[in-house]
Amino acid sequence: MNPELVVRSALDIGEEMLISGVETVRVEDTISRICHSYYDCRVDVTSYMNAIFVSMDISGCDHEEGCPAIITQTRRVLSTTNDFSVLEDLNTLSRYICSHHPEYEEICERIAIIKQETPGPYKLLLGYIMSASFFAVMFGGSWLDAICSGLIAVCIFFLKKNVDRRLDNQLIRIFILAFACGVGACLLHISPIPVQMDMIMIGNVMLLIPGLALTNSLRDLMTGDIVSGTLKLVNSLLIAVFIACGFVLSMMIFQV
Amino acid sequence: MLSYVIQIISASLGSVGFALLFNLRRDKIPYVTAGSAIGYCIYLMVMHFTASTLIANMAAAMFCTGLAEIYARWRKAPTTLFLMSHIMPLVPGGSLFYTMRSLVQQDQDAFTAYGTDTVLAAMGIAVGILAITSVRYIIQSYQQNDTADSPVK
Repeated sequence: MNPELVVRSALDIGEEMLISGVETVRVEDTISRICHSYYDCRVDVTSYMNAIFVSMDISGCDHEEGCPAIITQTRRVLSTTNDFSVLEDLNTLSRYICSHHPEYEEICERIAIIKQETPGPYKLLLGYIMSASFFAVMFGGSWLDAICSGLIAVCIFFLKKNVDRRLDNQLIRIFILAFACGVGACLLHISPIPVQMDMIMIGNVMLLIPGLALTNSLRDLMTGDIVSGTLKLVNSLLIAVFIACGFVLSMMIFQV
Repeated sequence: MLSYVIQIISASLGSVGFALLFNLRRDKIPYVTAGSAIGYCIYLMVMHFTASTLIANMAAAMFCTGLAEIYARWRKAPTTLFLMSHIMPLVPGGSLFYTMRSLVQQDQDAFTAYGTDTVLAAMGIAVGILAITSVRYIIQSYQQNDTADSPVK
């Protein structure tokens, strides 16, 4: 395969991996392995939270005429989610590429098939309800708190769909969701239902708060991936502050 | 004792919820349930005996990572899938929220207390994961000493 296409397909996979929420180390590793499997040459990969840079030096290898000796391509990733099915498929695909060396068109087709497979809405909704309810119980809530927490999670699920479509800024999005959560919890608190507001809040907070991102950022920092770790750390702390602001604002409005 | 049992059950079901949110394949959900339940059980046990957030999280994270590595070899899937779902109940989401809430409400004592808790928990988990991952790298380096091209992780 043309070396430019090799870098391009490796980046296609790396980009999708970054979007599906994987550590940057794994992205770098996958890209360099794919490039190395086609050409025995020097490959430099750098990846941050939302960007990938690849440079491949093929001056020492046999390659077609007219191709530059050093190929550099970059990608910018705007939004990331957590999608483990996609990640699993991409991992299988990159193993396949390394062992079978398929053509560029085949790789594109396979990536398109992987991207098509989105989770069903019921699966996500069930995930929202289950995590909100059971974490409310885990932090010491009653079964009534769990049910109320689950109800708010359903509202959050539909609100999130709307907000994600209309707003670009992640912090404002999360602020709106946190404020809505807080309003829901306050309304239940002033209603005659005997619920503990704190427990309902904490169940829903678990859906929004970047606890996992914070842990992963510390992990990156300790691995020596300072840039990636710092970016994630700052990002998750900012998100946490905005969530807190959303909740505190709703509590101030209802004066609880 | 009963409250511990309830906590463990709800922790494991809560992480199943997160596994669904992360769109984990259905055939891997049972492993996540078992892994996070035992992981949280270890956390509670170590917490009971040492009363140290750092040590408890580290021990539980070490177990979770070890189990995730074994699952990953067995089910031929990346370790991250299992690991992220396993450590979900340990992740300091609640205390991170309380830290930031006391920051916004200008409650300095609560901020210090929750903040310390958050940092210790996150550090403990990170160190626990790193410890086991390093062990894996060492084992791998012995196994792959003679083969030139190693498979993708």
